[in-house]
This record gives sequence, structure tokens and C-alpha cells, in this order.
Amino acid sequence: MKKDRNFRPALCALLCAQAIALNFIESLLPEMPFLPPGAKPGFSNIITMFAAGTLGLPETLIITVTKSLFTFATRGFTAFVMSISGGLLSCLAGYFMLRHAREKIGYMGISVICALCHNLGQLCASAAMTGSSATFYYAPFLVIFGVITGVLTGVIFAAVLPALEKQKNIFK
Amino acid sequence: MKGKVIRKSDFLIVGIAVIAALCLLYFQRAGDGHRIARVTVNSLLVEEIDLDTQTEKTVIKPDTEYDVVIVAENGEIYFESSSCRDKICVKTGHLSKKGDTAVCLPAKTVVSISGGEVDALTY
Repeated sequence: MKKDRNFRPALCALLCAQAIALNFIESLLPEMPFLPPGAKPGFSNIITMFAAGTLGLPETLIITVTKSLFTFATRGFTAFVMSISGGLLSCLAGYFMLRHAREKIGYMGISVICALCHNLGQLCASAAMTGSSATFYYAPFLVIFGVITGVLTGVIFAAVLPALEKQKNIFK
Repeated sequence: MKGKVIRKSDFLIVGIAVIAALCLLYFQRAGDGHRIARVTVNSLLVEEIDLDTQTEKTVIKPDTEYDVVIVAENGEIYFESSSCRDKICVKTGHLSKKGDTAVCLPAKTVVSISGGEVDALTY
């Protein structure tokens, strides 16, 4: 069957919507007392990883930026800066690994590295915003939390991959 | 999209990350001297309090575009209130150990506890 030229933008738009939906669902989760304040599991990485693996870098970047703009509209400028700084770094890392290291690293490992890159980007952004390196105090907690959420997201990603593939084929 | 869920190197990645985090955590808690709480706004030092010798309650209202109230009492320091949007600084809770840090990003305000002496030029 001939691939429709609208296939990529249509799938990209659908994935944008799904990433935003996951982002919103996360914001409903209550604050956990033993976790770093403001920490979120990052389930929308499931969508960006799929986009990085099936579409390409431009589409993945579009999804990341759209998601951050949604954060800007609903949670303000500070949240936007935190979202985009982590999002872009995580998206670049994920894209690079899915393209060049898929034979060496599993989805779980890629997801963990994405989560860690997301947290690193956010730490750097918060240090830049406050002009204080004291924010790096959160680094060990964010690494541990990032590993846990990365493993979780990686497992969920593998579980929903067949459904995502099926959804992709709707447009073909 | 093809690939494996878990490969051997994934365990290595997780292992290295966890060990690095534990090492960082260990070094953060180290440090001699009293517990000194420092409040900075936009990287400028606003207030320094020795939590080990302080007896009276201290209320700090730094000059920022948000109404931030920081309270130091009974060897602890915390954001009591803030007019910022998500109140992450207030949710961080009470700080009492060396290394503990609370941040209000919109107000560019950082409260952190480190070892040393008041007036010591540590940074």
C-alpha cells in the first residue's frame, strides 16, 4: 500500500495529544512525602521514545516543545523552563540511543538514561535560574528517582509498544 | 520498531547510577562545624544563621517579586509561605541536616544548610 504523505504529520499530531494527556494525568498525582518536591514520573517519555524510534528527530522535537507549551499554558513560566530544559536533553539522548545504540541497550536502559538526562537538564536550569549551585543537592535523590521511574517507564513502553504500532498503522 | 526490552548493559547503567547517587549522598552529609543556614536571592547572600547557637525565632522576608516568608527556629529552617504558583518551596518542608536545600524557583530564592562558621567565605 502506498504511504500517504499526510502520514507523518497525522501521527505526530496524535502523539502530541497523547503526550499532553499523559503529562496532564501526571499532574493529578498527589505529592509524595519521601520524593523530591515537584518530581513527576515522566510517562510522556513513552510517547517521545516511540516518536524517536518510528518518526524522526524533527517530529520528536515538535512533540517535546508542544508538551512544554502546554505546561506553560497551564502551570506558568517556571514550570515551562523546567519542562523544556529537561525535555530537550532527554529527547536528544533518547533519539541518539534509539538510532545508534539499540543493539547494545534495551528499552529499559534507554528509558533510564532519558529520565536521568531530563533531571540533569532541570538541575542545570534551576541552578541557572537561582544563580546557586546549592540546587545540585537534589542530584542524588533525582538520580535514584530517575532510575526508578526510568525502569517503570521502560517496562510500560515495552508493554504498550504493540498498541502504539497498531495505532501507527491506522494512518497507513 | 524493533529492540529488546532489557539487555545486559541496562543493569550496568542502573548499577552505576545508583552507586554514583549513594557516593554523592555520602559526601553531602560530611562537613565539620556548626550547621549554617544560608539564604540567597539571585545568588546574593541575604542571611546567614547558625542553627546550632540560634535561640530566638528568626523571620526572613527577602526582597523578591514574590512574598516569601522564611522562618528559622528550634534548629530548623523552612519556607513558611510563598506567593509563588506551585509552592514547591513550602512543600519541601523543614530543613535541619547539612546539605538540606529548599528552592523557590520563581522567587530565585535558595535556602541551604552547610557546615562551617558564620562569615566564613565558603563560596
